[in-house]
Amino acid sequence: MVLGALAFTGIIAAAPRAQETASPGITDDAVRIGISAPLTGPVAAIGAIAEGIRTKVDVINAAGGVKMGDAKTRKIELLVEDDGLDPQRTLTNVRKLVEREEVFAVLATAGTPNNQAIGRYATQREVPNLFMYSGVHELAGPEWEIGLVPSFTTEAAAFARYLMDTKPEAKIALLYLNTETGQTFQKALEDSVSMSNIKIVASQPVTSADPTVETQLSTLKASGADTLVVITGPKQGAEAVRFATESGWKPTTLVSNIAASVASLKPAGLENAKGVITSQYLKQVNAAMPGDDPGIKRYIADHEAAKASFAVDDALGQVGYATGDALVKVLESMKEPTRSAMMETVRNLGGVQLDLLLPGITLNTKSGEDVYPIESLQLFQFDGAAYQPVGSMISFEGKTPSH
Amino acid sequence: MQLFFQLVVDGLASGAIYASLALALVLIFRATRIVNFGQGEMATFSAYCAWQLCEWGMPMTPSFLVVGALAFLLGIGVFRFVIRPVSKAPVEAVVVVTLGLFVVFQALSLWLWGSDQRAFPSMFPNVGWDLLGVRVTASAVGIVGVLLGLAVATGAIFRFTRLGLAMRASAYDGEKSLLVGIPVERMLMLGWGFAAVIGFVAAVLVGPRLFLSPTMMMPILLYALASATLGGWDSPLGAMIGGLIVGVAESLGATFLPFIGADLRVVIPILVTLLVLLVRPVGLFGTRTVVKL
Repeated sequence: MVLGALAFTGIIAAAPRAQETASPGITDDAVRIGISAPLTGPVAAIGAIAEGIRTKVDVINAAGGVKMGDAKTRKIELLVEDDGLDPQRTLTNVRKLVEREEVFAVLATAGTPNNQAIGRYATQREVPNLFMYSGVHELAGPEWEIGLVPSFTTEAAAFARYLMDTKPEAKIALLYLNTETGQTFQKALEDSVSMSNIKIVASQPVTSADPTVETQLSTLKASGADTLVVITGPKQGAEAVRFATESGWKPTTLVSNIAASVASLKPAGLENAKGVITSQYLKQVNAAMPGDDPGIKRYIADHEAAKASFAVDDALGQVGYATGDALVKVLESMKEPTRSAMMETVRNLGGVQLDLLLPGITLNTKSGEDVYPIESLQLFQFDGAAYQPVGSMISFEGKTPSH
Repeated sequence: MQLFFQLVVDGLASGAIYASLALALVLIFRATRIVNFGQGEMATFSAYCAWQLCEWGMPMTPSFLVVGALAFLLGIGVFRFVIRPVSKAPVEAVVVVTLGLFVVFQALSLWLWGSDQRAFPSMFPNVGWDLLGVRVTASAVGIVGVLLGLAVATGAIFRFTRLGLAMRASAYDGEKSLLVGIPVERMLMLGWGFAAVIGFVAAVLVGPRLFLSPTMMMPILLYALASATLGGWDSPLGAMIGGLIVGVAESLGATFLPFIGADLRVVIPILVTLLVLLVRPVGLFGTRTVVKL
């Protein structure tokens, strides 16, 4: 069995392009997809993404499966492994998924370092690392990986555009996570405002192990800045939002969408979060007032049918649902049941609509030019109870600043 | 200059958070000569219980009292069923067992309540004052005040009451204490129960600042250990002051020593502790143990 698998992959490696038969992990009636996600540990909240994908996939399977581009209908088999967001475990899981479980592709791997850890392996094995949950799109395995959520550079540019329009003399204080995530954002923000009168007057790094970040915030406040930009995890984001109000500073506060969900701001006191601005690409789902948007209705119905374990307004669960939706769309348009056909498809997405994407946002990529599926963002401002849209959609289609 | 004083105040506020856990660590050490690495996670677990009662509609004060009593029983139970069976084992074994407590209680909280951060009700009003441009919040003042009171009170109990004397004796030498008629077993149980309650109070105090989550106390543990070592492992007041010193040193050091930055912050408390220990090996307020031959 093991020898057989080795021999088989040997053949693929020898002649990757000439091969016309199906890749591993796909038969005439099923395609097997692997997920490595943090189901436990300090950031187990991200595990809701895997559950969101399952929600979409369960409903699709219950309806018979996906009719793929080669006219065969296949069910999606999901295999989920826990990595606690530890890059080493992500690599172990992906190895296991690819070599023992023979998955066709891995999906929605969360975390920038985690995707860096599996990048080279995915390239060597020629396994698609599909729709990573990371805002850094330029990682270790460029040929075989693609992200989904907007790049942090897109968000930084959207924030800069907002400030140029509304506060052209803004003095920015930046609180950023001291990882690839925060550094990418910082660099992009610097580049975006370099041609304007906006100045970044102070920036302070935080690590996710800091018990509190008040010292950093006091230093930022003392810099005389009138605008606070936050790119950190949800805990420190909420702390920053609370500090900005409680300390009497009251700057214009812009918080990255990775930390700005209503649920994660709640511990800081929603009255403190009033006025916070964030960017978003997903629709705002309000369980109490679902409205008549067909996409949201379908999501809520599927959420119920699949008995999803996350709350219906959990932003990460929604990201997962959208990822599952995108997977289905990709499978539908793949001409051949091969891994390279899958990459070919995701490299040339054109106007793909998803149920939960805001109206006007679609997935677009172009082989060799555009690796960012989502490049438009809508800014929202928190009114004390919910986020309300501010201004019109900001689109960077084909113009996302590269990292 | 204004920034300097603001950072001192911020340092005191975060120092109080470190001190809260350090106080519970020192208490249990004083009462049983064991460093309980699971102390913070036990406290978090109790805080979750209190939060759950509030969510179910119980008012804040009675739910805190109920869970305070539960925490006492939890401390006793942990000692009786987990620590006592290994109490004659080498110290390394006991350390591993308390690390086990750390893992088990964190996993239990994660399993029961998930990893989302929650709002924990605050005992202090949400106000602050501006003193010559330095911002002081009521919750920071409240935390420091309550902890200082607790540290002085527990220190006094150990120092001046028969019960405290009996507890110290039991921890120091179980066999000889038994010979003079001290119910050693009961004293140790009491020590664990007592420390668990203090831990719970600490968690209640810092919960609104840190937001309630299963890993809330985890990043603090290192700072709390440094604080307790700095202050002296047998002095509650020392732990308190050690915590404040660590907090201020961290706050000022990270800001005014530019090469330190975000990643080296955690080195500051360790460095301060090391320097103090070089001069005074028992910590600032620790008592020297004299062995007569």
